[in-house]
Amino acid sequence: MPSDFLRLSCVLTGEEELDEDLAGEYFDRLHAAYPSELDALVAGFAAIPAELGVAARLKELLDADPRLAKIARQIITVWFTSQFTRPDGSSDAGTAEQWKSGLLWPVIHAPAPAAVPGRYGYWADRPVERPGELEG
Amino acid sequence: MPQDDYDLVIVGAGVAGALCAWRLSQGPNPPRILLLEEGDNGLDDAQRQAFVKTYMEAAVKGSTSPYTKLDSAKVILSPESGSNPAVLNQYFVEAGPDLYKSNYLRVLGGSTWTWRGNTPRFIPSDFRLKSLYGVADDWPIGYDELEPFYCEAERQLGIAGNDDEAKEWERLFGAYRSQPFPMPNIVPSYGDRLVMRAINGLELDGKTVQVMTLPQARNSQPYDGRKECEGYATCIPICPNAAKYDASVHLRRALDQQVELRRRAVVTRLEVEPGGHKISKVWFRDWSAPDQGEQSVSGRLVVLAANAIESAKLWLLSGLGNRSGQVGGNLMDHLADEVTGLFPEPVYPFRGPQSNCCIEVFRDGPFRRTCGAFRMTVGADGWGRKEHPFATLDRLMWSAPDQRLVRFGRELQQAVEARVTRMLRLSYSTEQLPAKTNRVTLSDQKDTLGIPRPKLEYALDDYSKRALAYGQSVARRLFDHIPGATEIDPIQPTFGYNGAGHIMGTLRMGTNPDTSVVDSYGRSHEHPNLYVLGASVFVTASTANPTVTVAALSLRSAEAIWGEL
Repeated sequence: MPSDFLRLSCVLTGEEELDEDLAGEYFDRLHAAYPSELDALVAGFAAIPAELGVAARLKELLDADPRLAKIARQIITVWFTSQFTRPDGSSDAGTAEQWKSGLLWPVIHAPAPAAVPGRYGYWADRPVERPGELEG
Repeated sequence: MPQDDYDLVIVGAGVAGALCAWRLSQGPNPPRILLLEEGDNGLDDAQRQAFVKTYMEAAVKGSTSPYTKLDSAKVILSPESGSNPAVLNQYFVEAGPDLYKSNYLRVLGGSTWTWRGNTPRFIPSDFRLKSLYGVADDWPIGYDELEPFYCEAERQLGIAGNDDEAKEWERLFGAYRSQPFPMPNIVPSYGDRLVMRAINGLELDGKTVQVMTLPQARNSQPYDGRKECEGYATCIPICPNAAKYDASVHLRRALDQQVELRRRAVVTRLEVEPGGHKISKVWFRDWSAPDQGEQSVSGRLVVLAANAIESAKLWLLSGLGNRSGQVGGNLMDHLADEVTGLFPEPVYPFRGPQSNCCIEVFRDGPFRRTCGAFRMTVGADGWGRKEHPFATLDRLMWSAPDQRLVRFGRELQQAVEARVTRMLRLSYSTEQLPAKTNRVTLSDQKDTLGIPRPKLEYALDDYSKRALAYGQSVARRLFDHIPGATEIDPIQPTFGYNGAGHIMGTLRMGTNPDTSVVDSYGRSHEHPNLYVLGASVFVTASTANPTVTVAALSLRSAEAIWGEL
């Protein structure tokens, strides 16, 4: 996995840190489905000077090329949900471990479905900032 | 006369067959019982965890997705068989004009693996629609006769409910309880309490809206050797820790009591003795055997406990008596739909059970002369089938018309959080009338074993459509009373509907052999040693999720069967 993929993923997902092993797994899955598009986006992202507004420059890059926008969409989707859509429209599902790591669940303050046992009745409380801190 | 192989042969190891087998296996000198079951899954925690893993790794997360890797799923067709498990009814042959939208599992334990676990009882008027409102038919039994069996069913399934709220059911509907619930109710969610605050006490059409907790077969405390609910939020399609009851509980107990189980046995027909009416043999085929050849067993008594579609199919395949002309007819479901909206503040769905609370007041009233009744559920699972959070994520980041990524990073996170955490659905599950013309027959098309597939003729009548419209109207008006609620949809009845998975009718009970197939114990009018268990025997659908009534009726039938044995 190119190191820029991890940095790109952070900008796209809005996370400050992401798991490097998971990034490698997602890169491999995405690359199998979108080889040239993924390479092009990672290369384009790597060329953005770090000191400039990276997110704004990335947006310009994506707006200029729908091919890159499409693979960016799938990068976000796999990080949030553990699955993504291949070019033929079929779904590429992840492992159980990847499912548990989906970024969507903490964003909506919910445990990953079927994956995280909580204490009985946790749902009666207003959630704390990130689930798992209270329920885990 | 040659001795039968078994005292009792039960076809189908779902909740009805499992409870019956378990009950009859208790005590000294139990009868010799054989369970014939198509499925081949385990009943232990290792199997459960395998189901959970399959679910988490499934590309499409539907109500049957945990079960798609079973060998049986590759051989025995089911309503969701086929390359795309999201597409319903690749097994039924739907003759229309309307679609029958419910499905089921053909596994040990039946569809209780994937049910939501909601267990409201019928109310007394549900058994007397004809007498009270001049529509459909009365049941040959009433609430009073079934009440003790409801109590026993609730003990066996482990129902969590609120005894104070039960008094409201008694005041509204006369639905009294002679025993308390086995354990306290499942606690409402944070969002449920916000909804209660917003709409409790509203007056609609002369009724006072009251959001109450829903009786559920879900442990609010350790019960019967099973843990309390840990809030995995996947009641459908799989409970990871067995806090939700499923029929594996009583299957294991029955097998511990020497009940025999024949797995992988697809029953193909019941044979009637020459010149008589008794069922002399039960024929089946083992789908794992090289030749899948027909084998037979005999039983003094035979119990059909598949479901309303499979039991009727088997009855028709066997050419059994149909003096009433009702066999296969009166196929019903609870047509369900919902109004969705964004609550003005976060209600935090997807935490805990998929639903905890209900509104019951519309289950009865004079309107039932012309319009079906309905139950309402306050969802705790966002917008349910209408917009999964994955779809929300995509719609907030992607603009399809111009193929652009419109949001990413923290901005996307904040938009997803703001939308999903406020998602609320108020659903309504309606009463459908029985109609002889809504029926299961045999198709010319065959399944993988060469057995005719069920053909479903199905049309919604005006009474049932009005129930959908009335439910929509009430749900929409409830949203109108929530200040600041937005995106309320639909704002008018659409007559769209979902299946509830509540497959009822087809072998209805009654006292008159000219108008019904079985008596109130499920005993066939025409075949003296044949019983039917399950929602097949329902005369009308009520508005209540059927399982606790199926369980109560099965325990009552088991007493009658015990008397005969």
